Amino acid sequence: MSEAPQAIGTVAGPWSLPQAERYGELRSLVALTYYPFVAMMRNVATFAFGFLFPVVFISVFGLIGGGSGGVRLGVATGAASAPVMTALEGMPNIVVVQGSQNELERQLELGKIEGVLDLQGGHVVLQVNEASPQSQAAPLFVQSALDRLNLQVSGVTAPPYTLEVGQVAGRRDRYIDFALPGQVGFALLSTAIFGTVFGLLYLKKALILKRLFATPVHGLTILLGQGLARLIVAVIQAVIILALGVLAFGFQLANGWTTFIAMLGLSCLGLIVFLGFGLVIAGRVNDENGASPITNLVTLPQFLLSGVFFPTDVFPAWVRVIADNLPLSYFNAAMRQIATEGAGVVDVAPYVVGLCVWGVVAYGLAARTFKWV
Amino acid sequence: MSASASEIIRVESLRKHFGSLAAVDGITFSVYRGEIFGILGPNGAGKTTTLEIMETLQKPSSGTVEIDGLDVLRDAWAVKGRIGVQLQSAGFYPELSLVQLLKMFASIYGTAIDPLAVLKRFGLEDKGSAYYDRLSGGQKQRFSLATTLIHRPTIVFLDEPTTGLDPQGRHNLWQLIREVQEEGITVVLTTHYMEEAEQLCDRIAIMERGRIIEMGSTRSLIDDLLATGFRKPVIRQEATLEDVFLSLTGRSLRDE
Repeated sequence: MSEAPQAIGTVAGPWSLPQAERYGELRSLVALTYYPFVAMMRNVATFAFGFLFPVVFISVFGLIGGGSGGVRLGVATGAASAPVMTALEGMPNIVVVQGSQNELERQLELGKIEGVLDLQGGHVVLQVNEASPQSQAAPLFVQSALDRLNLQVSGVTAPPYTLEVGQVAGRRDRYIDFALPGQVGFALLSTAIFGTVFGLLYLKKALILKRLFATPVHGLTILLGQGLARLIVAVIQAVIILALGVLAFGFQLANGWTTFIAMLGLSCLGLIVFLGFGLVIAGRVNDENGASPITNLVTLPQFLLSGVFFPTDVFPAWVRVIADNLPLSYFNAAMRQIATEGAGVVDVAPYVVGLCVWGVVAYGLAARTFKWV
Repeated sequence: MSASASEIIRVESLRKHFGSLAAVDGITFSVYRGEIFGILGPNGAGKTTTLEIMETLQKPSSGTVEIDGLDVLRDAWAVKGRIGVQLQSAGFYPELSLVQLLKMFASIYGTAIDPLAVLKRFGLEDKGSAYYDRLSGGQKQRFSLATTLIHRPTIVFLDEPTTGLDPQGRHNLWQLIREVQEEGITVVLTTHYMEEAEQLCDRIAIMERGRIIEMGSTRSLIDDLLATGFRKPVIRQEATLEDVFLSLTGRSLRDE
C-alpha cells in the first residue's frame, strides 16, 4: 500500500483492467486450501474429533489386545522347579504365577489366572475356573507337558506319532488389528461430517463466506479448498493413527509400505465420499441447534453398526443387511481387508464401488440442497 | 455532475423483495468518481441491502446497477475485482493471524503485498501475529478497512464502519477514510450518525422504508432546509460535550 494509485479517476490504472484473468483460480484454490487448513489445525474441534479421540481409542484398544496374552497357571512357591513346571514354562503362551495356595485359589476364582496346579509327586491336580473360557485350554497344556515327561521317562526319543503345525498367514488375531482400521474410518467420518457441517455453519455465521464472496473467487473454489484442507487433515489423521498402531501397539501392516499407501489412498476416497454427506447436511440446516441432531443421526448409527468397535456379524441377519451397506461399513470392510489381509484394489472393488455409489448419492443430494448463505 | 464520465456507480429503479417485503423499493442514484457517498437511514431502511446488491452479494429483484461501467449481474466477476468490501461485522477466520489473513486475501486477488507495511499504515504494526477476534472494535474496523484495499480497488464499500467505536476510534477511522479518498478511491458508506455524514461525506442519500427520500451534497441539503425558513433554536454553544470528552481524554487511540 506504499505507493498510492494516482489519478485513478481519469487514467485507468492496471487495477482497473478486466481482472478476471489476472486472478488465477488455481492460485486462489491454493490459498483457500492452505489458510483454511492452518485454521483447522488450530481449531479445538478438529483436534478433539480428528486426533485426540482416535488416539485415545487406539491406545485403549491396544491395551485390550495386549492383555490377553496367554494361559496363566498358578503353582505354590517352592514347587515351581518341579519337572512338570519346567516343561510348562518352555511352552509359548504359558505364564507361571507363583504364590501361596490360598492366594492362588482366590485369584483363580476372580479369573485373574486360568488354573492352579497342585503337585502331588507324579500326580498333578489342576483346578480351573469353569466360568472362564480361557481356563478350558489349561488342561490341554498341562496334559501335553505330562505326556512329554512320560515319553522321556519311557525312553522314547522318536515317538511314532508326531504332530507338525503348519502356520497359515502368520497373523496374531488381536483386537488392535480389528480396531485400528475401524478407528481410521471413525476419524474420517467425524472429520468429514462434524468438521464440514459445523465448519461451514461457522463460516456462514461469522460472515467469512460472505466476505470471500465479495472477492473474485468462485464459490466452488472456496468449497473445493475447504474439502482439500480437510483431505490433508484426514491424511495426517490416518498417518498418526497408523503410526501409533504400528509403533506402539504392534499393529501389523500385511504388506508393509504397499499396505500403508493403499490405506491412505482408501482414506482419501472415504473422506471425499463422507464430505458429500457433510455438504448435504450443511446445506439443509441453518444453525448449530438444527445441525446437532442431524449430524449425530448420520454418524452415530454408523459408529455402532459399521464395525468400528465390534464386527457386524454379531447382529441378526436383518440388521446386517442395513449395517453392511452403510458407507462407513464399506469403508471399514475394505480397510480391514487391505490392512490385515493384504488385499489389493481388485479384491476390495465391491466395497469401493459401494462407497462410490454412496458418494454419487451424497453429492447429488448436496447439489440440490446446498445453499451458500 | 452532468458529465456521465464521472459517474462510477449508476443505480436505476432498483428493487429487492424478500417475499412480500420490499427491502429496496425502486431507488435511482449515482455515485461520482472520487467522492465519499453516504447512505443514511434508520435500521431496516434498506441501506445494507442496497450496499450488498452493489457489492454483488445479493441479486436485485429488478432494476440495474452499474459499477465502473460494468453490470453487477452480467459482469459480477469483473466488478468483484474492482471493489473492496467491509461488512458490518467480522468476516475473518478467527484462527488466522492478521498477517495470514492479509496474505490470504492477497493470494485470492493475485497480488503481492507487504503485510507489515499494510498493518503499519492502519496502526496495527504490533498486531501482525494477533487474531482478529482479539482485536478491539476500532482495530477490527481498521483491519477490515485494510483488507478492502489490498488489490487497489476503484471503489470501497463500508457498512457502518464506525458503529460501536469510541470517539477517538471514530475520529481516527474518519481520517483513514479521508486518506483512502485522497488516493482517488471512491467511498460508499452507510451510517447512522449525522455528524459522521456531515464531517465525511461529499454527498448523501437518505433512505426510509426502501426508498430514497432525499439526496444531495451535504452542504446543499442543509442550505435547502434553511431556505425553507427552518431555524434551529439557537443556543450559543462554543463547544460540544464531545469536545469536552476529547480534550479530557485526548485524541490518541485507546485500543492498543
